[in-house]
Amino acid sequence: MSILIDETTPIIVQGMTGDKGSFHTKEMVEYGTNVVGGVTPGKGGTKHQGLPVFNTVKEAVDATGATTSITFVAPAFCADAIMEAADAGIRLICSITDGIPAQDMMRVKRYLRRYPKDKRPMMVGPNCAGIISPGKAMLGIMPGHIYLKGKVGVISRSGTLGYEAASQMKAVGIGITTSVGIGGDPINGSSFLDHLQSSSRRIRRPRRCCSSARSAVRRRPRPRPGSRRT
Amino acid sequence: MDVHEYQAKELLAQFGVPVPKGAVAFSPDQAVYAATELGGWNWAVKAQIHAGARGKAGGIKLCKTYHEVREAAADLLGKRLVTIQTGPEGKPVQRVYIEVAEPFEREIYLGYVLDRKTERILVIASKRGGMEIEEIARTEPEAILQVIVEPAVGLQAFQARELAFALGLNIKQVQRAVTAIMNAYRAFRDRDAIMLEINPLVVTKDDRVLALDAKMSFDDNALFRRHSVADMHDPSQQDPREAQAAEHNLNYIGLDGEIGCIVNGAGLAMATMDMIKHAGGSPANFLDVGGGASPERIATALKLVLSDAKVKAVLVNIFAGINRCDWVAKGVVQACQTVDVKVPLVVRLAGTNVEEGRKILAESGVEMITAETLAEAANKAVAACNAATQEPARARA
Repeated sequence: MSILIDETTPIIVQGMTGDKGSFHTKEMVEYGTNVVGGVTPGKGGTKHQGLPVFNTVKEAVDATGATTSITFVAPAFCADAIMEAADAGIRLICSITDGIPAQDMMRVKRYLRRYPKDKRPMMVGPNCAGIISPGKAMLGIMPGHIYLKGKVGVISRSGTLGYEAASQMKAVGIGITTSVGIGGDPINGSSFLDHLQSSSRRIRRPRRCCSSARSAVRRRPRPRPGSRRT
Repeated sequence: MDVHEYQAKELLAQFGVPVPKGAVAFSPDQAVYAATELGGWNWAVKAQIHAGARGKAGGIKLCKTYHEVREAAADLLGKRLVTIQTGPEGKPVQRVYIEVAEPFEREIYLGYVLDRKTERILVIASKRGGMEIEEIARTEPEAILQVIVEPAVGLQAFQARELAFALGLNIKQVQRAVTAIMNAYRAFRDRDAIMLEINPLVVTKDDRVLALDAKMSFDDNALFRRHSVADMHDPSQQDPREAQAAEHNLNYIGLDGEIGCIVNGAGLAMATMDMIKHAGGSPANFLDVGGGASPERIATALKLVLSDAKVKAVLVNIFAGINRCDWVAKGVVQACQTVDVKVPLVVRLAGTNVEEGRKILAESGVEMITAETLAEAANKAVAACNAATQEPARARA
């Protein structure tokens, strides 16, 4: 039971025509991810790697129906790109960018709060490896082949330590439903608890392996400011 | 990035926070000249280092004559000042700040911090100025006042007023304190600071408020748009290897052990250090080469780690995502060709383009030990390190 993304999720790549954006768009498409287009201001109307490029996120959403975005935008412009995505109605924003000024992220978080809870986009990152639902879709920069499809959810602050965990799990035959990298910056889009809660809503049959995580969520039904540190 | 007290005060003064008159000096002569220019017969000569608790460590001297100013500056300049915050090796004093010593009535604590928990800027104040905030928090938590700044509108005058009244100031002092609190907030916000501590903010007999000390840290990620802040950087205050690493965008922290580590990602770097400990060794450093490490960067990292004489073996652990194993392998080979690697080198590669990477290493002809898993790499590094330390011992016997 994957969370956040699967093989049908329509995804746009912000900063697709850049060096890193191009490389990882190719990787994501090869993995089977439903990438429907990209956004690079000034390159709208062109095609990149066979995908349409748009000037703004709004245009991209109107044309493709994308619900999810991933940003490979330079740190100086990334906060702007995230807010643009939120304003265009994107539901899940994953930011790979490392080096966004902390006060920019503070403003981004404040901006996301202007949406009522049920309409507020989920943000993952910044400075993270992204999200992968093995065998279905990859929204990030991880090496896809190290993840085995299975039943365990993984949430990690560190990117490469998340890879290490995934490859060791694969070595002993433990598969993953979805792995989320929440990122290592002082201010994150979402916390460990946010993802535990969103996944607990989707787990139908209780299993012994995740009972402690589920009861932890039940004991603390609402995220408190103090619960971000783990 | 940290700055010196005098730099923080210059910045605060630009934003309209009152500070005592002062001037920086690099020599005893300059110090005396500064004192004559400032006038008066009471000066504080303050050692400029990136650490607090200078007063208790003898880093601040009160002087009443030019002769005393000269003596104090001569005594401080060129020496390493050790305070409880610097560690045993201390920090070099290359500049002193000569300041007019103003008599004051009260000391107040005023701090600003970008708080991770609330994801907001917090303004913290206390009547117990002059003490460490951690100390106040422990002994008298109710003496700490806090306001949270709403990012959409910034700090409001009423919030500053609430703090000022709660500090027990009279109406004349409140007006001046509000100005100081608001202006310091603007300096914090407009220069992308992450921490500002004015401890103490003093109140004088004639009801003025003055920032007597100031400590400020800035967001490294925002330096690209804060050139005036970046220019204040003083590399002498950093560990030389850490300064060299920072120049190349590497995250390096020196430690006491014998196994040098080169890892991508802070989390994996910490796990690698744990595994080395677990295998019975001890890491010589923490080094995160970051994502997208080019061959040049890996080569720089290797040189950096090898420049530490304690290092008896090097462990390279790269799990490539945004980074690619073939690049890393090229970097390792390139570095081995330019630097004389006298210690055993253990390389573990995994992730994107791993086969190409391993092939480059195998075909290079460079002597190294390869490993497939983290545990194997740690064990091999510890074994190689033990062998290397035992050999010279045997040779001596």
